[in-house]
Amino acid sequence: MNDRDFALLFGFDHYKSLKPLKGPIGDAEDFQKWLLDPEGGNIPSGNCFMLPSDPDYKPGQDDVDDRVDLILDAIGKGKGRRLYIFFAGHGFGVSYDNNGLLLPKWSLRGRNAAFSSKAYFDYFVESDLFEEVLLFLDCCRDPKTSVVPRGPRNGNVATKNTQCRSSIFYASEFTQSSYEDVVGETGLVRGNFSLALMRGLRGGAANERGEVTLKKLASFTKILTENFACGEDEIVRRQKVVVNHFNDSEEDVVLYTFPGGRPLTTLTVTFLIEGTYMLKGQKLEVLKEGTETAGAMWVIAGLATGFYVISEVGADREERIFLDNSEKNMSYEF
Amino acid sequence: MNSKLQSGLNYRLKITIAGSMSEMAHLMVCNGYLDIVHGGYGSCDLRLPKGIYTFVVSLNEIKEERTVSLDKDVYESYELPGFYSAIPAFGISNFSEDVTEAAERYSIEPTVGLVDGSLNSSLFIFLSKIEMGNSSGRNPSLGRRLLILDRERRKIYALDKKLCVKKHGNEDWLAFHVKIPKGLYYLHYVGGRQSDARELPIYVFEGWQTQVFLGVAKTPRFSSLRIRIAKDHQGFDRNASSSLLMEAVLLKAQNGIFHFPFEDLWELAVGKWEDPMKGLLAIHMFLAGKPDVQFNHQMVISNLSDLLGRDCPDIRALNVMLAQKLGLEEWDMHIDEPCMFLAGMLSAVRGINGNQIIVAESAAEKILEELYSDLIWTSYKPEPINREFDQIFERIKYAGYSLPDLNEVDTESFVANFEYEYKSYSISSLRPPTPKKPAILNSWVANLILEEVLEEANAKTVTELSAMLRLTPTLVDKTLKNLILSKTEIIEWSNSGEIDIAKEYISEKNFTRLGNLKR
Repeated sequence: MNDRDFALLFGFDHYKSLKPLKGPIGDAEDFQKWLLDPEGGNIPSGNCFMLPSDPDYKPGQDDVDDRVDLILDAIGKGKGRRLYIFFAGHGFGVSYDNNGLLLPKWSLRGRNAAFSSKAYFDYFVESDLFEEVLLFLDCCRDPKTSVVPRGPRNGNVATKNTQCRSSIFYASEFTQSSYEDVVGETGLVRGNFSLALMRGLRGGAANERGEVTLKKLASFTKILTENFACGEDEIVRRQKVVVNHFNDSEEDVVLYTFPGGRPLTTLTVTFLIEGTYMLKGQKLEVLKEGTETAGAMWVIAGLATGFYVISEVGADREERIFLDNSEKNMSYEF
Repeated sequence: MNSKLQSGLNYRLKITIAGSMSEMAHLMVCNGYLDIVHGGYGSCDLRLPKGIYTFVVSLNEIKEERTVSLDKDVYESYELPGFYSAIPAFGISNFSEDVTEAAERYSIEPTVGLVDGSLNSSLFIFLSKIEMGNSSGRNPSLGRRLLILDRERRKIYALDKKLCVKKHGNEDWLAFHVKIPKGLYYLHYVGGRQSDARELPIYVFEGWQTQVFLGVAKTPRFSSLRIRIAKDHQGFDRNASSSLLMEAVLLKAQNGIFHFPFEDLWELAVGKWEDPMKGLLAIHMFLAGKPDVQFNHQMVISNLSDLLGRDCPDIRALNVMLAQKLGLEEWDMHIDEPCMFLAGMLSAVRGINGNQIIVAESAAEKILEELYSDLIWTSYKPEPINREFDQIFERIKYAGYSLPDLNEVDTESFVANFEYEYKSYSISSLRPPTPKKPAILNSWVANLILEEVLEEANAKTVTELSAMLRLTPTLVDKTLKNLILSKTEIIEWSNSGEIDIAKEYISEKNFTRLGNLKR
């Protein structure tokens, strides 16, 4: 168990003066599940501080700072290994490196009911209390004028010549919006960024050694979030994930290693018409080829995350299949 | 074009993005394992191992994704589609010839009788209908609720009055053109609801025509708003050089992206400027962009000053931005009227070295409380222009009547009718007065000050507090004084029952803190 790891999670669905959201609490809970899972973050439940909103428009900033205090108390004079901070809710862009994270009571009049992503991030990084600090922000970054999000009120930290390695994942570019959507036929609403992040952590971003590394997670999340946001609508929504790494080094941070190597998916392809078909892998290697009748199926096990191409030989018909390894089994009709 | 031809790798993947804005399009290429192998702007030429690749071309709301099988050299091209803009010019928007012709014609022919034949400056406003996906029903009434105000914010023209505009029978377009003295005007949208109201400062320059293009669906779409500046008498030119480039820069800036190929910006910044908006756009991009770009900002600002006049708000604001960029310590500049570019206003708000640039109580300061930030242009929620309406509405509410849905009724006639009926009500029919919420507490600045002073003890002076709140010291000071003057009224109200502000903000202790802030 990674008992030197801590997490601070915020999921705010309820807003007094803003459109309520449907995804953030679920997003934060999904992340929490991964954190507590032995096949995930594997952190003790006592180290994981979750703060969801409620219909009375809580929590406020005091509650946020109380959780920060609890983490400081738990660390004491020692040093933590990794701190995860996850926020899903309404937000606004203050600058390229600072976001206002809106508390449920935020309103036009009470426009300072927001906490600053940069101030909290800097607070932990500069204090050198952790070896790694990872911040994930699933919120909008549209700018607002004359809004001053607050920093932590836990007292000044002694700024140190920090060795802390840190990364920030923004769900969208500065000045841009982030979106939430219904996930498939489940009826659940999730932030596109959070959903992509979770799929990456659950194995989609694992490399051939089974490691989910920070950089691989970043590129996986970027690609998947764009795809989710784009959706099926005629009007394209643009949601470009931005990831900044600080104190970076060649050696990537490994968030989790799947003991048996990366998770693999079994793909079932059903053919709708008779023909000769070919399935190719990421390097265009032929995985399977053959002539099939209508209704026939191929079951191909052991496929890793990525793009595959299925084609009808001699018919100029080719489609891309994307596997993100979020499911052990996937079906496709061709 | 990025060239990454590397030996030892098997195949060439050349992706060409075509179209007027190709250099501004972002291109990302990733391999079958979802590793990003290329990311950058414009076309690319790569050498990569055999495999499946996916590339995504994106520019603002445009996105195209394709997959290629790289088992031989592959050459892909993608033609960027056109973009919506309210400018009726070829390659920028899809307006019919009739619309473009109307813009050209009425940018030369005034639609309002000559006020003064000797004037050599004018204002041209062109509204055009936007087709919005599945919007149905009747056509929008193009000029509805759009007004032109003078610098004192008095209504001088209403764009729905037939006498001052020309419009197409089907309301595809509406043109307004008036010879008008140079100076500041406002385009004011009343809004069906007050929350939809918006106002933009529009400056008319000596010897120039300011051209405003705005698309209207059911209501005005301010994101489509474009401003151009043309020599007076020259009119709108559909073939003006660099039109596409300007459009591209504007789209980028509107999306908060200040990356732009240097050569293109340079072209805008140093041209002959038949439209000085080119120079204004370019210099804003340079000043907002990376600090390491070697560029003679002063020269461009000086050239713009010569053309537009050094006293106009946008030139003044550019000088402020430059002073901030260069870290100048000594300067003497003030802004009393809002400028057209939002970046200029925001720079002015920041001031320099704690010195206030925006003149206290000026028109520029009055808009700060309600500034919007979703356009590259300065725009804000305006004060209603007719204060009488507000007072009447207050009386209506006070008399226990509900307000009409302002989307459904004509405001002026509703008020006129009410005025007539209201006279017949006796005072006794009104509800007994209860302590009313002091007006000052409807100001978010006042609320912010109360909250900030209570929560943060850091600010010892008005200047420090205004810096924290990103407002001018005079605005903060004025609000502070109003709060202190209204103290008794505020405390009475807070004792009257349920209030919508945290009680602790309205304590003696907090008012003492307010009073202790040094001026």
